[in-house]
Amino acid sequence: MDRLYKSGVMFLGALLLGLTFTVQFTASREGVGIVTPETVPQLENELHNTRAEIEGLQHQYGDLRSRLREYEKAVNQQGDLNEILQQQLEQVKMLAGLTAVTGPGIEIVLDDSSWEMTSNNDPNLLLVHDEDILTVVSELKAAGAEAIAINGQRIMFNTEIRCGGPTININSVRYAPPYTITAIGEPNTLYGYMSGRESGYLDLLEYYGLQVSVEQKEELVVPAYTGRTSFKYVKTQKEGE
Amino acid sequence: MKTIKAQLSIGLVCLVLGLMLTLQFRNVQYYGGILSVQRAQELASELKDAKEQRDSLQQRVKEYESRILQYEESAAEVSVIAEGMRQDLERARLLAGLTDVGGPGVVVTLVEAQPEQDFNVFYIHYDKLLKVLNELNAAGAEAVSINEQRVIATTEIRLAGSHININYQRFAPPFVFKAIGDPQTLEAALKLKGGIIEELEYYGIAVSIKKEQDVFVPRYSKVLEFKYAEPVNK
Repeated sequence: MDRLYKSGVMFLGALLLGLTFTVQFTASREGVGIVTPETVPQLENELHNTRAEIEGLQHQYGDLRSRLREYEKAVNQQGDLNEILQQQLEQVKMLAGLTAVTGPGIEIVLDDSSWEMTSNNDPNLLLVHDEDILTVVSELKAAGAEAIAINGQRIMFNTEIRCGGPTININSVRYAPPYTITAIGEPNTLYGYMSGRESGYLDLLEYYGLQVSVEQKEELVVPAYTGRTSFKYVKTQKEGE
Repeated sequence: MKTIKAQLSIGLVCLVLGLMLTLQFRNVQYYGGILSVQRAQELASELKDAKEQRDSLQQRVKEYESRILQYEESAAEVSVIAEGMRQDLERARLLAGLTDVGGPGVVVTLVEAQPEQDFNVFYIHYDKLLKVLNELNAAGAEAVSINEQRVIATTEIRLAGSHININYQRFAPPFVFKAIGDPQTLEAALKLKGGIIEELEYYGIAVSIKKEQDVFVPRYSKVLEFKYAEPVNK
């Protein structure tokens, strides 16, 4: 009886072991590698990203095709290639932030707290910090803002928002509070990301005592970037280089 | 003697079995065990197909792009105005993030200092990624990518569930910043005493910085267009 029991245990053990091995090995054969708890979400992210890339590329492809047709037409039938170049230039300059743009959006004003400074409260909490503005701007971008300016200074791809004592530097220009942030995009979406929900970042700032106002606007103007656009280190890489 | 041998072999089998079971149980606990292996296989094969599709599309897009550039260059050869516009276009495309770029710079890698803890520090302190980018910008970065996502004027860095969105793509740590600019200045700005690196380390994020002579920063991978904003004087 004892022997039967022992070999029973061995059999069961071997069976389970075999099963686990098989499952893991099939996985590696299929190119998944050893499956850990992180594998599935990792693959899901990667698949999501690749699909988004495909969508973007399909869009790009269509865009390029119609542009190529215009170029071909201009060359073959005495059209004006310069005119097409000019249109293209204006479009790209607008996307880069080199053109003043207008549209619907929201206007946010952030100011230092009006609370009395007492020995009970930390004066640091009563000021608008660079990090506050940085997060507000990132939230606006996540909400689909197409063009953003702070006190009239256009936010570019490489704009810094950085404390310099009581003032904040934006594109190397100094600004003092109040900070007026204007963003063009779908006004309801922008507003929804900033306030009204429990997660609204502006509500948090207001809770900490900052003076905050948000307003949806039918028409806003975001000025063009007027700073330096010449670069020293970066070079465009062309095909085949 | 025979019993010891038998016991030993049983012991060994149990050990290996225990290890394998733990691995599987971890799966079961989180994602449903053998199901998760099947799901992983499905995902892997879908991913393979998607990548093939992406690569072939990328090829076609590159081909069209180079044909357009050829037109622009041949126009520039015969006309001074066209040449001026071609140069302006190249600069504007660079500013907009629409071209692949290269140059000297730094590669900054951020990882969890203690990955074994059951929460992910990046999901609590994702705003620190914004700060790293901000410091690089303040130090004169001329082009930046984060996990191969080109940073353009509308790039967000935002916690979305259990991942971080950058250009609406999903990412988990590690985070790799590639920045083009003066390598010394970029490194010094990050390493400043009481600066961002010390702050990151305090929060449990380990940082490594490599200065490189040729950093590659890819173009923005989607179509850039405005739906709401239009030029003022139109």
